[in-house]
Amino acid sequence: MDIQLKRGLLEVCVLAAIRDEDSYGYQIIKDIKPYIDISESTLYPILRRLETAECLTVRSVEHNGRLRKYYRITQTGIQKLEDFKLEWKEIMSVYQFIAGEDQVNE
Amino acid sequence: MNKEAFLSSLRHALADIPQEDLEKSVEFYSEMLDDRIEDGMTEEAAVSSVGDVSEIASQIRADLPLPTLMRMKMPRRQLRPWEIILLILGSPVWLPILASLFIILLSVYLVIWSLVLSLFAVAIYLICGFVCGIVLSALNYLHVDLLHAALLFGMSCILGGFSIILCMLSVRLIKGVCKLTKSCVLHLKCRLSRKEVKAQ
Repeated sequence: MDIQLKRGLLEVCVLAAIRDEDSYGYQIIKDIKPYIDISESTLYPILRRLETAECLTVRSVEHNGRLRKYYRITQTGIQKLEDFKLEWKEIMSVYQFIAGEDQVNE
Repeated sequence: MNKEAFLSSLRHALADIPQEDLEKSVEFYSEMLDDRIEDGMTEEAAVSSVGDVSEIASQIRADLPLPTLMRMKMPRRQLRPWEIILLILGSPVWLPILASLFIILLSVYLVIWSLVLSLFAVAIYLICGFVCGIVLSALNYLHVDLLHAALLFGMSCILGGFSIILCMLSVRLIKGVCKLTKSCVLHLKCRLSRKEVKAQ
């Protein structure tokens, strides 16, 4: 998949993974992995970007005698998800145009 | 490699990035490893599934903003007093040289742009000629001066043809210069971050 496209999709996927309840890094990876390939080294910069953009907040919770960071979606993050859904409708209509054109050419 | 060895080599690989970024990265990977181990993996398996340290380090570096990368380069080494004195004493020499080098590079860049833009201007001029020629030939046609009308029409068609070729050429050139600029900036950024890696 195109790198830029994947990067954008991953951001939204991470937001979707923490939409319903707060989650932590490893859990986010496990939730997203069935749909799109993600690793620690890709997740880390995405989380930091989303945090800078105030799409999520971070808090440390004690777990088995160590700290674990939980990520919670903010209103901005929810808005970003909604925007993406709207945008995707436009993209789908473009997709239909592209796919249709291909069929004509064949 | 066990968890401790992994984290310390990550620390080593990122030794020159700002302390805060370093601590955050190490914390993140430490938590990731702990979670994997808790999930039933052995320490070794957890470390190897997280990936290669140098790759992780270069990714973290690549994600740092350019100003941070620049700042990282600056305080690498303390200048010795005599170096500072030499720098200040030599400033009448190196400052103008550096400035003029910069100006020369800038002017070369501007000359490239002005060449491209002047080509574009010629193309626009030709288009104007084409439009005027067509209008004039139509006027001559209305005055039943068929010979002149045909002559003007033919000439303006030639102008039109040239202007199309020039337009295409100059659009290509503009795109080319834009691309060149972008790749230069990218190259510069890459070099900056790569030097950091090599400096380890």
